[in-house]
Formats: sequence, structure tokens, C-alpha cells
Amino acid sequence: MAWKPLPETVTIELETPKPREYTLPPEKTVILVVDMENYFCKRGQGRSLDVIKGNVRLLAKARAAGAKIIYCQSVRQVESPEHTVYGRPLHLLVGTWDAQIVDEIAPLPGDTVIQKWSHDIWAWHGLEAELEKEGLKAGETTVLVTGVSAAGCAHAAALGFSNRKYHTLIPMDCTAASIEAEARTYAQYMSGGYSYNMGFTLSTMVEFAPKGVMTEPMPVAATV
Amino acid sequence: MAWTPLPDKVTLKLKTPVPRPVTLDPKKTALVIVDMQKRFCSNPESRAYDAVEGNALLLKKARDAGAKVIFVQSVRTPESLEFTVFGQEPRLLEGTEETEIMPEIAPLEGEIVMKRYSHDPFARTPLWDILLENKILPAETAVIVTGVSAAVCANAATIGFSNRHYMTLIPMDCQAAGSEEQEALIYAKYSENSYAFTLSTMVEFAPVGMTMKQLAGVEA
Repeated sequence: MAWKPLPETVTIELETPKPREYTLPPEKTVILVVDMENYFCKRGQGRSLDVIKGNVRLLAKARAAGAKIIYCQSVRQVESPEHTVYGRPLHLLVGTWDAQIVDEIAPLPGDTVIQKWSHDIWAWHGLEAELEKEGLKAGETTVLVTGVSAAGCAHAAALGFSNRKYHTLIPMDCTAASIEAEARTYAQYMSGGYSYNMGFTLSTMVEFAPKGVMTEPMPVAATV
Repeated sequence: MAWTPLPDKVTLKLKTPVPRPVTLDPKKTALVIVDMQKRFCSNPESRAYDAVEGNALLLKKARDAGAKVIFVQSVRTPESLEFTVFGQEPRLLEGTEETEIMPEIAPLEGEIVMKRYSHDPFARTPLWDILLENKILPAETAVIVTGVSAAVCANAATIGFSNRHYMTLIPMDCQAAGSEEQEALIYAKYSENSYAFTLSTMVEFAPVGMTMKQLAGVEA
């Protein structure tokens, strides 16, 4: 057949995911906190302002259990291509209040903070090396990706983990975009290309087993 | 405010992007063809099959003009984690017929064919080194991404290039997903200036191409 263009408008009704409970081994779990910065979480309106509490809860549990916590922090320079080529107004400049992680979940000594210069933590920024250094391997590690935007930077991070074959969980009360963008993004995670290693939960539904009690990764089939 | 869960169902009314003509300098353009393989494109009832014709047209234009062409080919080994840990049925095993690129657009001798072992061409592959070696550099190169699935592997490539600050072009007749709805959902993601939609029939090559800012719609 000849290729047919899409209709001018496509109307889709999406079911949203149902979060599930998980008990995780802390030594095989990473919390990646993406761009929980003043620019996104303290200004204006929107769902991004409402996910600090969920992050506080999840991080408290992870710290108590001894799970690995990695923050990524989005920063830009005046010379960044978004500004000089792609017409975006200056934003997230290094050293500004905008680019600081919100006080409520400020990194503690010993946490890893990776600065990134694009939407994608996987583009150039050393995350692979950090995971390798910590012995956190694909196929045996669960990663919970929090932060904003669920449809932008946190999305790039989550897809990147799934594409590298990590068991990847989205704690839905810890990540945000608009309702429409969340629904659209989560629909991709529930599709055939991703549902095999991605799942949904809430900060209230995640528990950690005592270190050493659970040595095997989660039975992933149960998450799909 | 307190966080509120999504409603059980969300209805989206998505406007399809309007493709536009582009004139490209072949020295500052790369064509990246993702997974146009027999497993995905052989069914004549599929949108993936329908995308072969657009790919053939675009590939011919790129080759005639001397633009760099990179084929990305999805393969797996029996030891791939999808099978051994996550319980998927083995597929796309190296050397099998289903991994072959469609004959209509088969790579020519000397063209780059990069195998990868996951959905993402940037994940644990030499792609970044290949781009640097061929002077395909961010912010000064337009990358045209074609292939399948528009909602999985071609999507990973598309956002991967944009997230690395390449001007990223989506020729809509050369990408395909399993359904119109899946394509519409994915195209709604590509909302920033570093993405632009076109068609194989709307791409022309010329010694003086549009600037990155013009392609991004930032300058007239």
C-alpha cells in the first residue's frame, strides 16, 4: 500500500497506569532524582509543585535502607545551543537559584550529584561510569526515576534505563508534567516496547527489605 | 497543593504536525535509518511496509547529494537480558533473515551499518564515536531520522539526537509505528524547536542549505 498521512487530528482515550506495591533490596536499588530544581518546582503553577512531598518520603525510605541515591541537576550556560541555536530564552544558568535543587530534598554528603547540560542524563554526563563504579548492573538492579518533567528530562532518564535493560519504576507521585503529557508518556511505558521492564508505583507503596534479606532482583514478570 | 492522581482515563485530541519543505546542505546533513528490517517491514498490511517507499526516495536523494548515511540495525544474542532476565521470546538473533535490512534500501559497500543490542542507538554503542569521526556535530548538523518503530527504536534515536543538540528532522512518510494513534502520541513529544517534520518528497539537497536556525524555525 502507499503511505497514508495521519488525519489532521487524532483523538485517543488512554487508560492511566495503576501503581503497585514493591518491596526492594536496597543494595540493588537506585533512586534517580531528576531536575527537582527551583525553576521547575517552586515557580508558577502546575503538578511539578506537588511532587516534592512524594520525593521527600521516598528519599527518607531510601536513605534509611541504604539504597543508592543519585541526583541529576540540569544547568546551562549562556552559550548552550538551546539558547544560541534553538531560540529558547536563557534558563537554568549555572550558579543561579533556579538551578538549585529544592531545599526540602537537598543532597546530603555522600549523595551523588551529576550536572547535565541537556535534557538527557545519558548524553555525555557520566551516569554509566557512576553505575559501573557502584556495581549497579542492568538485569539485576531496580531504578526508581523521580523528578520533572515526567515527559522531558525524567522521561529521557527513565527511557534510558529501560533501554539499557534496568528494571525501571515510575513512582507517580514523585514525577510530574501536565495531565495530558503524563498520560501520553505513561502510555508509551505501558506499550509492548517497554512494559517488559517498566512498572508504576507510589512513594507510599515502596518498601525496602533489610539489607541482605533480598538478594535476588524483583521477579519482573510480576510487574507487567 | 497535594499531589492528585491522574484520572482513570484521559482523552487526548492531538493535532498532527504539518510537514514542511527543507533544503539541506549535504555536508551538514546525516540520514539515520533505524531498523528498516525484514522482521518489522515485510508485512504489506503494515505502516512499516508503507514507509519503505519514502525511505527509498530519501536514501536516493541523500546518496546522490553525498550526504552521510548511517544504518542502524537491531540485533540480539541468545544471552540478551530481554530473554534471560525479563522473559521475552528470543527474536532478532544475529545472522537471521529477520534482521536483514529491506532489500529496497540495502546498504551499499562503504556505508556505515551500526548494530545495536537494545532499542537505543546511543546505549552502549560506538554511535557517538562514529558521529565525531564523520564530523557530524551537534548544533551544526541536521540529522534526518527514519525507520521503525516510530514509537520505540526510531523514537529513541529521534529524542537521542535532539537531546544531544542536533537539529532533528522527522520525515513522516519514512517513520512508522503500529498504528496511527501510536504515531500521533509520539509526534506530540517532538514539540521543541530542535525537531522539525517533513516528508521524503519535501527534502531537497543544495550546496547552500537552510541554516540550523532556519530549520528550527527561529529565523525566517
